[in-house]
Amino acid sequence: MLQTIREKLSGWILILIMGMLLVPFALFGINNYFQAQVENFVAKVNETEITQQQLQERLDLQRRQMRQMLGEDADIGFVDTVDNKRRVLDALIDEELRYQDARAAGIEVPAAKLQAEILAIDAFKPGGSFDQDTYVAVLRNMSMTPAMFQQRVLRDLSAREIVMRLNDSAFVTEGEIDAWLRLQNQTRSYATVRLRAADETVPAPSEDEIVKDYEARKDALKTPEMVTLEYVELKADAIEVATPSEEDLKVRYEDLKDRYVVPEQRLASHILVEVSADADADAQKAALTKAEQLLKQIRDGKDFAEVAKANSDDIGSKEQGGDLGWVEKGANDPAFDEALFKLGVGQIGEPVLGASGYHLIQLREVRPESRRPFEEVRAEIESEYRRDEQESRYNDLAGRLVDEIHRDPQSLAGPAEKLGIELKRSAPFARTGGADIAANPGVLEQAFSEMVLERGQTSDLIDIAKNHVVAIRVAERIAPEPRTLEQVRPEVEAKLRLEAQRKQLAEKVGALEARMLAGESLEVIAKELGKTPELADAVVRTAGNQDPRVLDQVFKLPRPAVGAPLRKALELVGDERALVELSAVVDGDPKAAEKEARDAARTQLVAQWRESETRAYVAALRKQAQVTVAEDRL
Amino acid sequence: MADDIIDAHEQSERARQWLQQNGSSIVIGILLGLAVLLGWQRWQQSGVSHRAEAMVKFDDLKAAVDKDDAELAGKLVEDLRKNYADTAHAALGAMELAKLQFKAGKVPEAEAQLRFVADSGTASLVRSVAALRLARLMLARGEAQKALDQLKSVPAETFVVERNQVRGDALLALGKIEDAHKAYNDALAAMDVASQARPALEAKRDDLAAGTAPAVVPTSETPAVIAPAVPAATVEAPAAKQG
Repeated sequence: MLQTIREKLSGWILILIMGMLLVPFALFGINNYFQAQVENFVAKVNETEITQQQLQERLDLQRRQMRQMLGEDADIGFVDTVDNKRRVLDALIDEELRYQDARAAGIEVPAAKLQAEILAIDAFKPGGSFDQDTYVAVLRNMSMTPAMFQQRVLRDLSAREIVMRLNDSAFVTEGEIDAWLRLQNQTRSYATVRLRAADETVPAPSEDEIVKDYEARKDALKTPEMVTLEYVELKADAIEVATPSEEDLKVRYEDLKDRYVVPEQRLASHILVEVSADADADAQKAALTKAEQLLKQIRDGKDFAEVAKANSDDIGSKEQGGDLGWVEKGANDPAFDEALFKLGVGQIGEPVLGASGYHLIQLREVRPESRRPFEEVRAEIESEYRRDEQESRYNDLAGRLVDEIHRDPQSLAGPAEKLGIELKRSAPFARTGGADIAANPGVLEQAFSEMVLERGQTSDLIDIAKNHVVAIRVAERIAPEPRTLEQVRPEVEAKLRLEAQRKQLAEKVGALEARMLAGESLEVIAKELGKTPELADAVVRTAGNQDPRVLDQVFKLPRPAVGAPLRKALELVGDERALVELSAVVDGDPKAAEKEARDAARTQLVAQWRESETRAYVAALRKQAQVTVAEDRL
Repeated sequence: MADDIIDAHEQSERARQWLQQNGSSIVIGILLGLAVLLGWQRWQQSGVSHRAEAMVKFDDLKAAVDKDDAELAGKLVEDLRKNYADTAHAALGAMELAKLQFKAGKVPEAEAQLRFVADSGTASLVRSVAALRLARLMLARGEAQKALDQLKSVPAETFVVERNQVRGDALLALGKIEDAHKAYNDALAAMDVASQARPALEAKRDDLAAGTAPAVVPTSETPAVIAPAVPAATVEAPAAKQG
């Protein structure tokens, strides 16, 4: 066929056709480069993307850890806040940066080290040593293959290497310790007089002032924006389930058989002739001979307990005549168990070699295997039965509720009716919260969110506690409303009064400070005010018995010259002011510090250097890198 | 263009001839290509295992340092520096040794190790950390001016907090209280609000508040210690120290 085409076509037509064919072939796939790519990374670190999925994994991990730490019922809604996501993402970015840095710096983790690291992980050591089956099972739980897991550990090991090693080699000089001790043990002596704005007498604000302030702040004095919610609540505990029939409970009792069985117990005594497992043949022989002799004495009529008291090497039971009490299978040495559970009541067995030596065992009594009767455990089974039923009903309802909400996000009455749950209504509340479900931070966040407040949609299911959720919708939105002057008069008056008091106090203290700067002592001024100065004699900066508001500021004051105390007025939070007179500053003496204090200082300063260097290192990595964060996809 | 139709026999004949002429060069080319590919892989692999070796050596070094075995540590660092300079472990090892030597009072030796890293380490940020530590060692020896010069090797906009903190210490040692106050202030401005080192640094800065009375330096102070000019004033009597 090709031959025919070739014959029929003249040169230029062929070229034309080939040319036309060439275009689609040459350009095949090129559209991929022009089409807007669907990007779903949450951050990009140089060329590497951090995916939505990686972030979600971290958040899940955080959720698990929080539940472990705070209990199943804890409110951990904060995990899903944008702030928290951003924090977690930042940690991921830093990890990636450190990994890239390690690669660039030629850090390569040897296979042996990777292996040792994995072998040392506690989660894979159920019985204290690494277990292959557990390893595979745990990984499957995290939906990872061993290769993926190894890759992750390898990454972690490389990423942390440089900073960890820098931390190892951090040091602190003696001079730095001296300087620190000098400051930490520095003492200051000062006197204070405190004055409160609330104690100032001021004239009541005039009607004019009140009206003026009211007019100026009309907006701020409006009632806050409030909402009333309609909501449905699902709570496993509150779900009514049918009382189970006797039949059901019996079936369950049979299923749980193992739980209610008390295994056979045997009351035993023993005599131990100690010989260690690695002793030589002669010693073993001697021990056996001794055990046989003791057995003979007993068989000849001596009391077992007497012989035990006189001869047993087991310090624990010796004084009780060898009594071991009631013993279950598996509590002792396997050889011991085997011998004991072969004996008949009243019998004494031949010597048995266990881990610590030869045992002579006497079986005194047997309690056969027993089972707690149904009647005794009926209540327990019933309550468990109920709880299981409730939970399964709850899960079913929650699933259906989510579906219904998805189907009709603009109404909650419909889903509630379909599922047969009551549609409740909250009292109005503002952003600051209210009673009942309005006290829950998750509910508050959703109630005033864009989706629920502005678009009038039903919220997602909000966790209140374990097996307890609500879905909310705004039933009524109450806009801020202006209040009349009469409604807010007390508020306005109080504010104006406090302002006047503050101003008056500031002026008064200003004048007093000027006099103190001119040389009048605090004592004179205090007397005039009818107050006694509070004295702080040689206190350190961490003193717990001083007003911290004053203490902090006093330690920021310059040092006074000898014999010339430094006087100053301070502003304190809480509408107070203080007049202080700083009389002495004495540095701590590093040489007088005890060795322990010095060592503590060293530990603390090294820790500070480590933290500081690590922060700076990672910050510098960030500065050098191209980091893009997709805030809108958080 | 050859328009003649060539019959099948001639076609195969031509192909055979062509192969005869070029066959050997094709085979050689393929072999050469394979060799290059394998060689490249092998070479890459040898780089990987060489760098992995460096980490093993470093772990040995760490064990030696933990046991205070200066001799073994010295040998290992020499090996790392000589044969593994392409990985950061050479620099990290030298810093490890520097710490050990500093602890043992061998300040010049420790300085030499840090200087090696500060001047020639592979990773630039590790070099900066070493430079900062080197400056602190100089300061500990009383060489405040040298410390200030050394700090200049740390690139601007990185390690701002640490650089200014050490600068402040050095300036204080030189008696330039106002400059020191400013340096501490710069450090604090760049410091994370949540940093645990913050209160200590604030205390350092606040202690240099403007208007501070001239310090009385205690006579027993040795000059080798950091900040000999720290105002260790004893103004009035109460020498009672509280802890």
